[in-house]
Amino acid sequence: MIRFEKVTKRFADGTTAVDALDLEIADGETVMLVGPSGCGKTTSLRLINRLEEATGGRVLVNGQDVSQVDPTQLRRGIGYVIQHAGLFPHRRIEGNIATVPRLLGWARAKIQPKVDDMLETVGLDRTVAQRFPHQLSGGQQQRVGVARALAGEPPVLLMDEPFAAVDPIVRARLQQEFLDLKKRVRKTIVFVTHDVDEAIKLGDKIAILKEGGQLAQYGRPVEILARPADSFVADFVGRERTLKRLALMTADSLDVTPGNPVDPDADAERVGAAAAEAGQPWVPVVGEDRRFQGWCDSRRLVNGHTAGQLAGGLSIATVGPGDTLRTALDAALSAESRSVVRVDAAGNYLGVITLERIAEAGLWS
Amino acid sequence: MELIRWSWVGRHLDDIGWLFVEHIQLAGLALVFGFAIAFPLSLMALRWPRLYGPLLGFTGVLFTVPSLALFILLIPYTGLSKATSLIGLTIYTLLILVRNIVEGLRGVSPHVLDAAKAMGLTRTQRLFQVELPLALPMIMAGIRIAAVTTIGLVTVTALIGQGGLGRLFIDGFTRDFATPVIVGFVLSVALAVVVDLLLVRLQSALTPWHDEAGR
Repeated sequence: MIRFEKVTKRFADGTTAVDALDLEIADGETVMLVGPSGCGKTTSLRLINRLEEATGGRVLVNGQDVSQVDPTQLRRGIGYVIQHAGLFPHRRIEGNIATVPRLLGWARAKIQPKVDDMLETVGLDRTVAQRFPHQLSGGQQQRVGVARALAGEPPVLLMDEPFAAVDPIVRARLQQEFLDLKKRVRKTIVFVTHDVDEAIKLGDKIAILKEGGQLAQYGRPVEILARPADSFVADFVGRERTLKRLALMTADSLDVTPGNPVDPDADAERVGAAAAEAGQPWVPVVGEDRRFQGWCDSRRLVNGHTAGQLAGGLSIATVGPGDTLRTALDAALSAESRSVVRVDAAGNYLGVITLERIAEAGLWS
Repeated sequence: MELIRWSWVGRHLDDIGWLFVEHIQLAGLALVFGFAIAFPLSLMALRWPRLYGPLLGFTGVLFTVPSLALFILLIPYTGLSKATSLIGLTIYTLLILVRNIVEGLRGVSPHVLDAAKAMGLTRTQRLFQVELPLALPMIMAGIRIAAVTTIGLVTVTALIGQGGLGRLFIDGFTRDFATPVIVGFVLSVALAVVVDLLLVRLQSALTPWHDEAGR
């Protein structure tokens, strides 16, 4: 876990890059630092591996104040990827990737397979291992940059505008690969970008910073889109644009997920099983008449009670085929399950639309 | 009158050989000493950038002192010795070497240095594993210029009784006899050309990444 506690960074010339920043990043989470230039996002990132030193407050990595750790040792345990890849031009690709394992004193027999493994992880052919960086395309170099950052098996990965210097087509592909990669490697990732679309697409959470290094809002992408903290955030994320797009689309344009509905008489055991299968704690309760009766929280249902008893008190909003996605978004946001039930024209239960699915539709269609 | 009297050359092969070796020794040692002094000076200039201006100014002034005058100035201290010759020759390499080492190290991409630091290389590791290898083409360029210049300059020290092949010039001049002058000239030029070519080869071998980089 990474935690910023009232962290301030003032430069010698008097400018404040980061101002009393509080931020908590959970293990395995991808957090995007986004904002206009001069908002201190890159400085904030560099405070984590002490490429910059805080002038106030403290940064904790795994509970340890980084200012108390030897910077060299600290950095060997934190992967770092930068915009221009920053590969060592005089080292072959394999030498670049092996940098941190060598610094950590790994045995040669362990390093070689690791290099091959990393090349495969980032989708590069093994034949590039013997080339020099300048013999690779920009996109390939960026992949090597990621491979080099991951080779030392750090639990934390810092990325500073890694995809900003490649052309849009390559960028889109690298972004998709990043999404696949982060599922596989399970790292805590802090990712700086000035591109809000990239932040929404890649992040589990987004921290929006404004000029002068202040945190404007921190939350999941859909939450920020749906409930921006202020007009700065709303403007910055282009909320109007997204909402307009959603208002033009209808609920039947999205596929539903089955949602594993239970009947009102279901007991804790059955609700628990349905929730486990669905992969989320909230289960829709649907009566024999195929009407949606509400959401049941499998975690709160105790033995002896039934799903129907819990469902009643909660949001029972549904959307029909003619409703817009804007309506669906509002319904999903007001439901604790962060989902909305989709019904057919006659009001019969069809399935579930998640908030993520709606947000995606608004952003990417 | 023939241009070169081969019989003289044949009779003095031993002497010519010795002078040739001495020539290489003087030039080689001056380069080694020059680098040994220029390298720490350059690192200081990088660490404290304010030093760089005065340092270049000082070595620049030294560079402009006419060579003969410099040797004559040194004679009261070190006499007509090899030391006098070496000190003078070494001084002349400093400007070229300091400037190329500093510019070479300064030319290393800040992105690469940033990455090296972020990977957890210590200051010393960054210098020897990243900065110096990347500055090598520029440093080698300096060494080549210094080497060729010094090989030519060695002949001047013949006037203080050293000078390697330069002594053939004096010999030929005093006796109004062209052969030693031509032999000394040809060998001196040949040495400079061969050394330069060898240094180019050495650089290619040391910087395989650089050849195709176009930088």
